[in-house]
Amino acid sequence: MKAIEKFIKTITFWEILKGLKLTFSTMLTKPVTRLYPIERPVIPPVFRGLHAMRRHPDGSEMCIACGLCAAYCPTGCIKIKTSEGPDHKKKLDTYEIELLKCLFCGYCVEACPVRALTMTQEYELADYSKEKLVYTREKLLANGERYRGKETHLD
Amino acid sequence: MINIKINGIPLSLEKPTNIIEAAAKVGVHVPHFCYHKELSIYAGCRICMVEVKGKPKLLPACATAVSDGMEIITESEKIAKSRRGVLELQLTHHPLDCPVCDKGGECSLQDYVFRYGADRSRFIEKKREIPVNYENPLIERNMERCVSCKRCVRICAEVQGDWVLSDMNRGSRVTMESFCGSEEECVHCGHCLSNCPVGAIQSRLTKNQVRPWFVEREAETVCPYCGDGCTLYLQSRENTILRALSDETYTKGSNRGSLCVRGRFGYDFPNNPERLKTPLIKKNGSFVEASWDEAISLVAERFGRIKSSAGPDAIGAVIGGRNTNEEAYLLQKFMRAAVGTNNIDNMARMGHINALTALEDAFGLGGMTNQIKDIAQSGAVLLIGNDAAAENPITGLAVKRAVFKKGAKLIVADAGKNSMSKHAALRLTYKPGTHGRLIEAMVNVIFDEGLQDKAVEEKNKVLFGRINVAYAHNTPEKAQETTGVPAEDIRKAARSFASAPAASIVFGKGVTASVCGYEDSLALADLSLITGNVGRSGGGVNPMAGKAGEQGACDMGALPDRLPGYRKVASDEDRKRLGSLWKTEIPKTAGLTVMEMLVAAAEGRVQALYVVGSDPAFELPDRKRTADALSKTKFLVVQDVFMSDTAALADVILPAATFAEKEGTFTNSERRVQRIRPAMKVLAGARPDGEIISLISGKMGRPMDWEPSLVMDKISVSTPIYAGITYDLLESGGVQWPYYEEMKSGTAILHSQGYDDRRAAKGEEIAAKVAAARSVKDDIKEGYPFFADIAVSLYHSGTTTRKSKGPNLVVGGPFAALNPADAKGLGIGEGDTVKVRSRSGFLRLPAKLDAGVPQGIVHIPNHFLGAGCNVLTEVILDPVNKVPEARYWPVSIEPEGR
Ligand code: SF4
Ligand code: SF4
Ligand code: SF4
Ligand code: SF4
Ligand code: SF4
Ligand code: FES
Repeated sequence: MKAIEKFIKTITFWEILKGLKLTFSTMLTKPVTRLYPIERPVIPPVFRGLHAMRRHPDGSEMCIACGLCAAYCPTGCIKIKTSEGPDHKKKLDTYEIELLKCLFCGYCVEACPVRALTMTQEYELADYSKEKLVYTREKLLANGERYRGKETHLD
Repeated sequence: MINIKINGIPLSLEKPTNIIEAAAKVGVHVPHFCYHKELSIYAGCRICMVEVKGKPKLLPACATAVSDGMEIITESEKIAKSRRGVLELQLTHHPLDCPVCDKGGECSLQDYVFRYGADRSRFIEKKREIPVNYENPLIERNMERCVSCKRCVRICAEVQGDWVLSDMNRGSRVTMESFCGSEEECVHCGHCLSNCPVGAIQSRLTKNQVRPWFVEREAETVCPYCGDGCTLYLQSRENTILRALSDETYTKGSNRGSLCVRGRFGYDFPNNPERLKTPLIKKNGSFVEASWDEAISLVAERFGRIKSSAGPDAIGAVIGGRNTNEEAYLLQKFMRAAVGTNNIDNMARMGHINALTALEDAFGLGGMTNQIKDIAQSGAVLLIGNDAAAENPITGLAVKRAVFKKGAKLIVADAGKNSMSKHAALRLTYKPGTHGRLIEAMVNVIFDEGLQDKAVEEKNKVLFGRINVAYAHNTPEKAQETTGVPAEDIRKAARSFASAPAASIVFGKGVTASVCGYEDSLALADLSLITGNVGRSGGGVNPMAGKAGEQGACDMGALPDRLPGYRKVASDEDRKRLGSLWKTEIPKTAGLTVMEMLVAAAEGRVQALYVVGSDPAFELPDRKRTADALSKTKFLVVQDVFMSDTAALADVILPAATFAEKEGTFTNSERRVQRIRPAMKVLAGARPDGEIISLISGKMGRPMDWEPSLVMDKISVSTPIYAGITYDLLESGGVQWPYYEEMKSGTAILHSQGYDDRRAAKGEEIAAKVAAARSVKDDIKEGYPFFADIAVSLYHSGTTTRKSKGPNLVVGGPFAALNPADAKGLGIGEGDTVKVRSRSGFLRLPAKLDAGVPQGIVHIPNHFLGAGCNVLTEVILDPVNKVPEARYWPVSIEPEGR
């Protein structure tokens, strides 16, 4: 019995027909691939894209310069310099994230005690030089502004 | 033997100790706030509670001594509950602002809260609001974060001996404040901040700048300032020194966890933007930047030309106290082997050399006989001519420890201000320059009253006889006339010194930097000898080096009449031995001392000078004469890290590396050879001194290895006292020379097996030298009723501290401190300008009133550009070692109003 069944399957190219069934049935459905970049995906708010630094509603920066994000970052790509500001307050001098090293794990965001750092839906980060991929405080704040009022990773 | 079990781990102990220390031995950490092994037990924080089998209640691990058969449990649910309770009580008030607290990441409270999960308190009370105290320029105190462990209070009192802090208020309102609300007594040692387990006391220099995870590199190294040679940790990030830390284990080096303000807060000069970054060549009177090739070729070529036209002796070199042993060795080798002259000297010529040669003549080996920590074992300490608390603060701590812990009688003998006076049982204030008579009178009293060590006398009858005769003329009554010290006080001092079971002598530039420095150092050696204190623990004769590299430079033979290891240039055998190692002939005639080189330079006999890491124009007496000689020098090469008075006169300036950028070793006063290690890369454009010297030497046809570890290998072959010392050996800590390979140990106390009195052998020669020393007369006092005490400030060292932020925040400029009675007599008030005038010049300085300054003295810290005390002084040399008189100088004081 087995032998006959095998013989028939062989001469009718059964396996191929079986495979083509999927091909032909898919031909009739709507495509799932997108014509990126003409067609753009919908990114969920919890997406871990480019970091952003946030400002308080009054415009002042939220970051208190604690450096915990840098401590937590598994690749050590966050570099912070701080100093004593007016009134002996802690002041953020420079803040840099070297995106080429970043894993987008979001640990930095988890670490931030004041939710000053978040991640956004930005993902098109390619650039022509390594230097440009070191995101400074200004760039990150600008990204934060872009997302002001929008839902992000944190919310 | 005490056999105990800690968490089931068996442990046998020789000596009883508390549970915390016992647990640490088996690697178990018992949480604690108020316990610290250097301090008395307070047992106030209650976080250290542990279970002991058979005891119904938990016991404090810090205050419970282990006893045989004890079974201790350090972690259990019961213990955790108790600790959580303690933490909750702490958190009632604690602000928990860890994200902006500098202690975050290295804070005991944070760690314990994390460990026991007590992250919030059930006790709701209004949090304390206490303003942060910023009165101290270097240290901030944030009492909201204090856990009331009182470690700061205790360390300031028990270790530092300054009693600045105390606990104010009661109960939950307790805060640690300076005792009378004034920070005046604080010496900024930073013991309190290094000892605070939480973030309540912090350095203001690093405030908001450092996180433990910012540190990229940490180096265990040695403080570059004074001769105490403290172990220090430098942490850096991106080639910038972040901070200096002391040893947390309180075990290493001579300082064992302590530091003074210079070491702890004077670390940032390597990053000062004023560092010299490129070789400079003087062309038509102004400096032009040059490449290293150009500069080195020029130096080699000019040295070569001068050598062939005027002979090798027309070239001289001086090395300062900031350079490593290896660099001093290379420089003297360069001078002797490549140039072919013995004209090499170092800045120990300003005093320390007198002590070394005197001790060598008295005992056979020139060097501090005991070690710094050993001073703490003394029953009596004679501190003479050295303000240990300012000049050599860690030695000062050892002296204080002897006083506090051993009840030692401290005799402070000084002509000027001495901050150790407040701990003294007896303070002898002698007239400047008369310390020799004082010491002689003490020896006199000891013989007179039969207080000498009889057992030692038995063995050294002849020597004792000679000493007795030598000092017989100087009775206390006579000494009272010359020194101004009451005869009765001299007697008292002699008695307490001689009757102590072990008595040590600590002295410094007040004795050595004078025309009788050699002779008076010998007298101190005699005093120690007749009381049987030589070779005894807690005794000895201990000269203090002013700079980190001074002792080493002498050991390395950077001296005109000595080869490495104090071998003599005059000895054919020593020269041959070294010559065969170097495959060259060592020049036979002794070279010139730095003072003589300057005279020779002014006269044109010396045409080229190579000045490494020092600033003779600022440091040597008689500014005009020195500057004149330096500018007359045809070719002056200065190798340093900053522009200096001397560098400004140079023909070529070679930018060198600082201690934080290089490998090497320093030998401290107590003969301890210790490694320094780089915490950052060599500043772009600068080079380590060793490399520079070897480049010049190579260009002159004598290549030398400069890799510090290789140089040390050579040193251990050519310098007998350093035999067997290698970098591998020094890896785990310093070694005190002489090192004995057979026993694998250095020598903590010299002469414990007896000594070799060289004076007996060459009595005549030495007697003549001593006689010559006495004959130098002081006829410059006429019309100058005061003495300027040209002093070392606790806060400064010279070229490098000037460029460090910390020390300058406390003492940022020169001043003239006067006794209030003198000031009143002259109508001078605090802050008034005074003109301090001597025969040769004057200084205008703001006046300070200070009751610690004896009458007739004006105390001037000699560190500040534009206020160098060498405008006041002239050159008077001691006849033995050509050490210039440089500590006390007759001056007059004229008030100039505000
Ligand atoms: S953790 Fe947050 S607040 Fe702290 S430094 Fe990073 S971004 Fe700033
Ligand atoms: S002292 Fe410790 S627990 Fe308190 S805020 Fe600072 S880091 Fe946090
Ligand atoms: S710095 Fe030193 S002297 Fe000053 S309060 Fe602290 S421990 Fe005391
Ligand atoms: S300031 Fe620090 S060391 Fe002093 S009592 Fe408070 S917590 Fe302890
Ligand atoms: S200056 Fe002297 S006492 Fe102070 S830390 Fe440095 S070596 Fe130690
Ligand atoms: S460490 Fe034991 S009570 Fe504080």
